[in-house]
Amino acid sequence: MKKVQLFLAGDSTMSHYEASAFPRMGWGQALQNFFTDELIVKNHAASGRSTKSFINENRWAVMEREFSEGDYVLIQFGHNDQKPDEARATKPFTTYQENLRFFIHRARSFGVTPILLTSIARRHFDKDGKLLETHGEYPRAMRELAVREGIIFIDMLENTKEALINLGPERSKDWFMWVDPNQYEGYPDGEKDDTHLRAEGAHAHAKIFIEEIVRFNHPLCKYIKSEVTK
Amino acid sequence: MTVKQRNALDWAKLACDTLMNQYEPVKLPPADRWHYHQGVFLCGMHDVWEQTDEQKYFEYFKEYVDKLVDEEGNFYFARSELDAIQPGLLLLPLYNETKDEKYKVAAAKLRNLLNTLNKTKEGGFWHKDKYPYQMWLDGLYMAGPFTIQYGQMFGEPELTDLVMEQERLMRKNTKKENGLYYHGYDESKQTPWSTEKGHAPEVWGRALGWYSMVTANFIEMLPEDHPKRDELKQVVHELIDALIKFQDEKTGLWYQVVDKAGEADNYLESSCSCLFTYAIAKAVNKGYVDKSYWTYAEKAFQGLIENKVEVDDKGNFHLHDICIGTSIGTYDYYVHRETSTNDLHGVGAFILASVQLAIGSENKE
Repeated sequence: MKKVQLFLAGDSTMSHYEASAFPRMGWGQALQNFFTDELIVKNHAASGRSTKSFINENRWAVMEREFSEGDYVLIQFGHNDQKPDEARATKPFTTYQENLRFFIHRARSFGVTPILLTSIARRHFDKDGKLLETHGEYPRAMRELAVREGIIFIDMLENTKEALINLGPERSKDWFMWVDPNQYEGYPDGEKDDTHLRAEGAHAHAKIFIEEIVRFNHPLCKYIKSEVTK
Repeated sequence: MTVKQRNALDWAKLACDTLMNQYEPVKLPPADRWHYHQGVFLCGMHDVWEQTDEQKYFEYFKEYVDKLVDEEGNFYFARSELDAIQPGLLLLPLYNETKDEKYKVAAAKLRNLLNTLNKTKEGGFWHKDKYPYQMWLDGLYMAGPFTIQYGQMFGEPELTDLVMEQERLMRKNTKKENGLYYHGYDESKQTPWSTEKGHAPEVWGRALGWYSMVTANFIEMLPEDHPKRDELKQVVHELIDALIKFQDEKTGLWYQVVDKAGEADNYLESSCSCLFTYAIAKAVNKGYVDKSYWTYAEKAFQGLIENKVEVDDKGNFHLHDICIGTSIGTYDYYVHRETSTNDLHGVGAFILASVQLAIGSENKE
């Protein structure tokens, strides 16, 4: 039987990292662990990409060549769409939505089911321990588009925000690239990064995604390993 | 050695005291936030304060509010959700006791959320923007009692009818044939869990627990001659009749997915069992159902103590098997949600129920 493919289109929070970058990991990298081998995760997410540069660098087109009917594609952009440079910048309610609509319609034309995901939360607490909103209007633009297009939308931003708030400013560092100097070979000077995930956070974020598809009883659930939800 | 037999009020105090010793008020989880988890727990503590007149309980919930609300009544809260309104139930008694204007100013901010929250075509409040076009049973408790009481205290009695209309919509859109209510309703029917009629696919214990508690509480808040009084009494009576059919024979408790006792991985959940206990005990105490129903409440409370409560060797209280914060989903989602011990949803509900048990036992003496 042909295996189902789950494509990932996104940015550095989702993408794959080489072992030399350990413990840095994108959450997409942790996803295969939750699924049986009936489903193959194909991670096309790439650091620094916005909806615009993902299209213009032919990354979407390359992914399309592997599409086959019955597959799924997760689409998660936003972090870099808000960057100011010409190559990446989009506006939430115009170009960002247009690019997302392009993804949706292209995927559908191949019989591939698109799923939209808002960006994961950044670990930005203010001095009073409140989590700051850093994604502007992009999440709302995506949510509105999903409702209009009648497609499944997973609010990773809200769900990961809740998780970070519950962990609090200190413990949430364990999910992000906060590493001490010389703690890991690849990071002699250490890191204090509130956007990029380390292995623990990648796994936790993938679990949040899995919990959401279970909540919806989404068709992808049948590929989840039984020990994951029990 | 003889162990002192605890009565229901002792249990409520023990639960309060355990968490008071563990956390300074503003550090209750999630720390430093205006949130209904703390709100529910502190509402329980408020009831203990009323019942015992012990000032330390009043001071504790006052400190929670005072650390978050400044002298001008400024504070941070989530501005797109009904949940943010629930801790407003602490502001009203604080205003009554102290007449400090800051509590009134803060309460007005929460009241004004009702002007800006998104609504369904029928006029039902969305539960949160994160869940567009959806009404959840939970929301009726989160915002209803505060809204009615605020209106009565500050000259907007018409808010009562606004809340009664929300209650009517919940009932209209979520009632199941067996007398229970589904977790919520999606007007857009776009949500993957949505059924053909738009209601949620399952009856989730805690959401129904909030609904049972809040409807039992609404009646006394209505003016004597309000036409909804009799209607709500009937709603409460019918819901309690439906609930006792699903009460576990052996333990007196209720299941996470209330009407699917026998299905895989379903389990007896503590917070919903506390809330149903509250609703039944309160309904007996207020005479909405007759005294014969007291045995169901008593059996449930006993079941909680025997099966879910533990007192460790330091004398600390632990309530186990409390489902963590949960959204609307399908059966598998509910039964595989993680559980925790002393989650404030559960301890708060336990304290609220214990106080109702205590009031009922007093009435009997």
